[in-house]
Amino acid sequence: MMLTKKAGRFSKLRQCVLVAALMGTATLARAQEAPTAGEMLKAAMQAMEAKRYDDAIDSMYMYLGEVEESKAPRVVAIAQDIRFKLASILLQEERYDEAAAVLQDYVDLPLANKPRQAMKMLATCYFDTEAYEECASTVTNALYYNENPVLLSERVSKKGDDEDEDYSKEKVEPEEEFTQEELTTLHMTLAESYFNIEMWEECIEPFSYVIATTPNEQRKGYAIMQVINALIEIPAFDRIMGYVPELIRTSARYDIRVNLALMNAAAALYEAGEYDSALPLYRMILPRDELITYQEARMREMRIAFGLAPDEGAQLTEDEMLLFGGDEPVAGAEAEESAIIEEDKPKELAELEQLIAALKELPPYELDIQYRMADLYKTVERYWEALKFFDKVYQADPTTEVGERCIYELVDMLLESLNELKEAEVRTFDHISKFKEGMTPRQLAYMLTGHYQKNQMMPTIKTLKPYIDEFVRTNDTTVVKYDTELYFMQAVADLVMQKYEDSEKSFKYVLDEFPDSHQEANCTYWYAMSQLFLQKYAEAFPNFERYIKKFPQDQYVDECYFQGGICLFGQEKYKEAQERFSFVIETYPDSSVYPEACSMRGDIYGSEGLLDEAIADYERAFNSSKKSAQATYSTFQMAEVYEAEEKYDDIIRVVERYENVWKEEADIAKALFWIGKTKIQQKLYDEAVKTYVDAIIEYGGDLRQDGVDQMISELVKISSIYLGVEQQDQLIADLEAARDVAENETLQLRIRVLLAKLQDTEFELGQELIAKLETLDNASPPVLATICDASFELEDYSRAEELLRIFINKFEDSDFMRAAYKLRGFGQYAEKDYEGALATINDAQALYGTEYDVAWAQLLKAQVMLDQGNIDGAREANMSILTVPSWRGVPVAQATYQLGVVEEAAGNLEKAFAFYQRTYFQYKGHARGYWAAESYLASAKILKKLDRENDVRNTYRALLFDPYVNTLPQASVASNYLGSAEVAEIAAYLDTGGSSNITISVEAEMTGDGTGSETSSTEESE
Amino acid sequence: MKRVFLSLIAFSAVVVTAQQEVVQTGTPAILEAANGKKIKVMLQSLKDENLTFQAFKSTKDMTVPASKIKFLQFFPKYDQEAVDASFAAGDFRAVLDVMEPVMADFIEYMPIDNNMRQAFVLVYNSYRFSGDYDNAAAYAEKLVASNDEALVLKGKAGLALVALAKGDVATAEKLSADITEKSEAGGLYLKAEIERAKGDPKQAVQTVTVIIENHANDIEWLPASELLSAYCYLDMAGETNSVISTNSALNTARQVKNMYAGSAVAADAEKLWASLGGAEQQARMDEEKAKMAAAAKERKEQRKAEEKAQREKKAAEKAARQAAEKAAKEAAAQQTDVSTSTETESE
Repeated sequence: MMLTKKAGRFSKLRQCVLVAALMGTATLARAQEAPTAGEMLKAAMQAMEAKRYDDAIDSMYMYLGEVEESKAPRVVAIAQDIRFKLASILLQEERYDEAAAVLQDYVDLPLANKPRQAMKMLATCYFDTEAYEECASTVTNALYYNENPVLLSERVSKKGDDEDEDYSKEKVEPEEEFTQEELTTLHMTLAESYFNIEMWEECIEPFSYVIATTPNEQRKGYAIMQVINALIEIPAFDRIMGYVPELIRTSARYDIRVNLALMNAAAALYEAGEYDSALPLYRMILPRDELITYQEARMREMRIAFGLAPDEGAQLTEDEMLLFGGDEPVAGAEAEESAIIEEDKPKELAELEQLIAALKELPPYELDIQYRMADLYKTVERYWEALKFFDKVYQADPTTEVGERCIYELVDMLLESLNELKEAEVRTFDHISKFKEGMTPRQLAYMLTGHYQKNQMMPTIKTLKPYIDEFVRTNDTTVVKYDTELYFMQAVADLVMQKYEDSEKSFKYVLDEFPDSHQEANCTYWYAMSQLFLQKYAEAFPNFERYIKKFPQDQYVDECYFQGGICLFGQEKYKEAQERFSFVIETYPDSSVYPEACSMRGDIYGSEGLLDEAIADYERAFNSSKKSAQATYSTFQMAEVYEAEEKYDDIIRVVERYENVWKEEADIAKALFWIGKTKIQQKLYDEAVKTYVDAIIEYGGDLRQDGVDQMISELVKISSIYLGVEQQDQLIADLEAARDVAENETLQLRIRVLLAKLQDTEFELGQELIAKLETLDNASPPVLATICDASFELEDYSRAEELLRIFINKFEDSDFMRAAYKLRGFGQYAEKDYEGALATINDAQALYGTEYDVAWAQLLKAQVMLDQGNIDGAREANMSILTVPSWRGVPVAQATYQLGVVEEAAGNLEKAFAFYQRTYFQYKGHARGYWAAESYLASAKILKKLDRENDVRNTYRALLFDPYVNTLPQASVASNYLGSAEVAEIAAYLDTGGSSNITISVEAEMTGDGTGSETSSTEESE
Repeated sequence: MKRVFLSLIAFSAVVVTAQQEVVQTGTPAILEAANGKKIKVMLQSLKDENLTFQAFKSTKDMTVPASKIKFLQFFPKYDQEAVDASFAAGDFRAVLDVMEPVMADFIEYMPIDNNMRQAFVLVYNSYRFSGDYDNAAAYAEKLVASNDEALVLKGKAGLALVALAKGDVATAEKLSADITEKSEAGGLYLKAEIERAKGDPKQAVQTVTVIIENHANDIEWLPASELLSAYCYLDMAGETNSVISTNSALNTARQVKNMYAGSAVAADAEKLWASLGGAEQQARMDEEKAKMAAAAKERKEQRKAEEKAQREKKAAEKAARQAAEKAAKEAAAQQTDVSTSTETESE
């Protein structure tokens, strides 16, 4: 900047001062004879010496007024000297405005011999009076003049017109150039002036000069900080980073103002999204206490340096003087005179005190800084760094708002960004076990639950329940909403785990505890669904109806209509169910349940013999299927109908259509199963076998292909019924060849099971698999079932629970699961876990009803009840077996025997005898005579109790005569009782082809249901 | 005549002296002794902690213990700015091409404090970052032999890093223990490096977080530690079951590049950042920003135009209303003051 710009702010003021001084002079002139200029000058000097500064100022003003018009070089030179002195006094008196005016004149007028100092003083005046534009201009002029002093003298000498004097010949003492320190100070003043008038770009250069030249680290740091602030204002964020390392190296990091400025700058950068720039600034901010400690120590040093006691109000001891290296103590009156009075403490000391006080008043900011840093790290995905700082803030105080935000962020990051579930769990459980109020514990529980849900960790969700139960309830709407959601998620977990009794209770709990909640509709639906899964059709139905009535516009309305239909179906209200399905079909043609509704109605039609209508509905279902499962069901239901009608071409047609439409999603194995079935019906056995073998080899490697498992069962049947020995051998040979080349373990295991079934070596295979199969991961349902059966035979229940769980989780629709239920039920019984056993029995019966090979469930149930001392229950359970047509045969034999055991336990020996006797009379041909043999022995035991020794003997004789049982192990009991002679006699008799007709009668009350009494006696005819 | 003869003798002596100056060899330097005395010397060698030199214009070897030497001022001839620029740009080969011959004269004297140490560290880093571990190790050995605690630590860290690069974890662990005694941050940094070398980047990055927490302004160890963090994130991005994406590595590298601009670490960070597609990402972001700014400007201008139109509309309406009011007033005045007008007119 050139010298031409002049600061004119004080021109009017200068005029006023001069006018006032001259008026004062005029008044005085009237009062007394006016003094000469020389006298005025002398008076001014005397007043100065006497430190009467006001008088000196007045005299100087008067003198300048008197000589203002003079152009005589000597007078001008003296006037300039007086101006300089006057300005100095005015500055000392802090009359900055006046000083500025005088100095401006001094600089502007000729023959100033200290223009550099004058301009420096002028800049100070302007700066202190906040005239920053003028200040900047003055400093610029000063710096320019410092480099180009000739120009000013030329300007002054050439300034005037012809009338002006030529001062160029006047001798002006050369002034020394600015020292480096002065230059630095001037640049600082210039930079600060620009900064204050928001000339951001302009201030950077002078600040940079200060940074480069000042030896004072505090000043350097401050200048750097100001540059950063200016760059933020410009904004030029990319230039900030260049200054940060330099700032780190200075001790200005301990400057309070720098720290405060750092906070502001960092916050501004943070808000602007300039995270890379904000981060190092945040890092530099010192903790408040550290800063206070540092500055207080510094203040003590300053106080000592100024001759004050280190701490305010205290005296400086000699030791302290020695320790802190203060000046030598001054004795007596001199000491008092030289000591600085506390009230008049130096400016920098007072400033520092104020800064420390201000800092102390600030609330601790460290946590906020650290939180922001953590947030910043998180934003740029530096999760581990974020974790560290969130944790630091949280550990400092977990109860504050920021602390709570931190634990939330911690858990959120651990779950979502770092996949550190264990750590998330530790932190969550730690927090929610200590803090049970407000939003945060709920949010944490909610996050964790959400994570478990997403990762199908339903059982783990339940571990949160005890904590949730402990949360302190409030009426706060948001908190209530969280509670609702948490309990709802708990209920969903129960539902997904198929613990329907639990889910029924859990959904009910939400409905009761949080009426009219945002989850009411969903809860109502799933509550009803839980009941439906429990086959509580009558209870579920009104809940579906309630949903329809209360939430007619919600998402599950169509489902509710449909599921209501299922409830009616389950209650055997087929007509109403049919109407309900028809309503769904007509009202919701686009619904996801439409295909199911069609299939269900088709099933009803089918059961009524309306096969055409059934087929039409299955067709609708197939055509509207949105999922492959819907198409699969309808297709194979059609196949069932066509099979009943012996329309094998139609079976082929629908199965092929199904394959064509659903392609990869189709259950090809199942389709091939049906095609094979058709071929059997067409007596194309070889083709059927080939179809199955090919399909097993092709799809048998896929664990989920349950059609393959069906084929295994079907192949066994075909082989035993339709194939000749040669064909059977060929089949086995083909399968063995396939087994030997199979690399896929799932396929290999399937083939081995099939071969075992064909060769009747299942038990041996099962034993081998138990011993050698390391993992069950690749075992398909038939393989698992083989293991279950072998384990059952071995009474090894150690893996029963695991096997059942695998079935439930992976193969819930598999028909082979019944083997796992059996193993589990008996395992629980063996462990005397009666309740567990009954639950397993209930599950098995719910799935398989009264199918023949699940009769064990009812028999075991009776046995469990008997062991529990529930005689009536046991009796009823056994009696019910006798009434089920599908359980005729071995189950009935065992049930009859068990009824004997029940009555024996009840003390009804006659009745017990009657059941035993019935068993060995009627069911000796079942179970290879096992139950009959057991019954003989049991009968003998009863007779013994009744002291009917002869009948006991006859019973044992009857056992040995009975060809169904006399070779069984139980016969040895009879042989031992009767003795070798009698046994030999019976044997000899039997060898001759004889038979016995021993009848033993015992009086017993028998009723129509078989539990009544009758009179028994023993008769024997041989 | 005698005077002429003596003058000739003096002249010949000067010539001889000049010829002797020419044959002096060694590395020129100003040697500052422990007592502050400075002399111009030609350095000959530094062996067994003894420095041998010749005084300027002398061919006599003098040997003193190196510990008695305070400082050596060398006079290297190379374009320091250009070398620094190459280094900042990550062009370590260019740095070495220039500096290898330059350093040859000075490398021997590094154990004594001198004005080429910074350049020496620069060359050492260039070797390390360019994967020339043998040379890096040789330089690191010299740093370890120096009388500057900071350089010794740097040297030991360098040796440890070279050992790690060669798969020698045991040596690195031993050196790490030495460093930990002197510098907690340095020790933690090496601990993290070792953890990463052992295939546990997750633990390594957590160790780095301790450095960041407790040594946030340690400009010696923090930059390298943060860069290490970037590499650890990159390692984790490839791990099974890890949800860490390369974004974490990319962002960390970018921050290191920006925060420590001009340093060797920043140069390395920039390479990593670029290799992860940082430049393309930055370009996309800049483009996005520019678009947003343009859209904001357009919205602002549109709003201004709308406001202007609104103002003009209001002004027009106001003017119309005023005109209508004026006209109505005039009309009313004409009707009500008919008599006055008439009177005036008549007057």
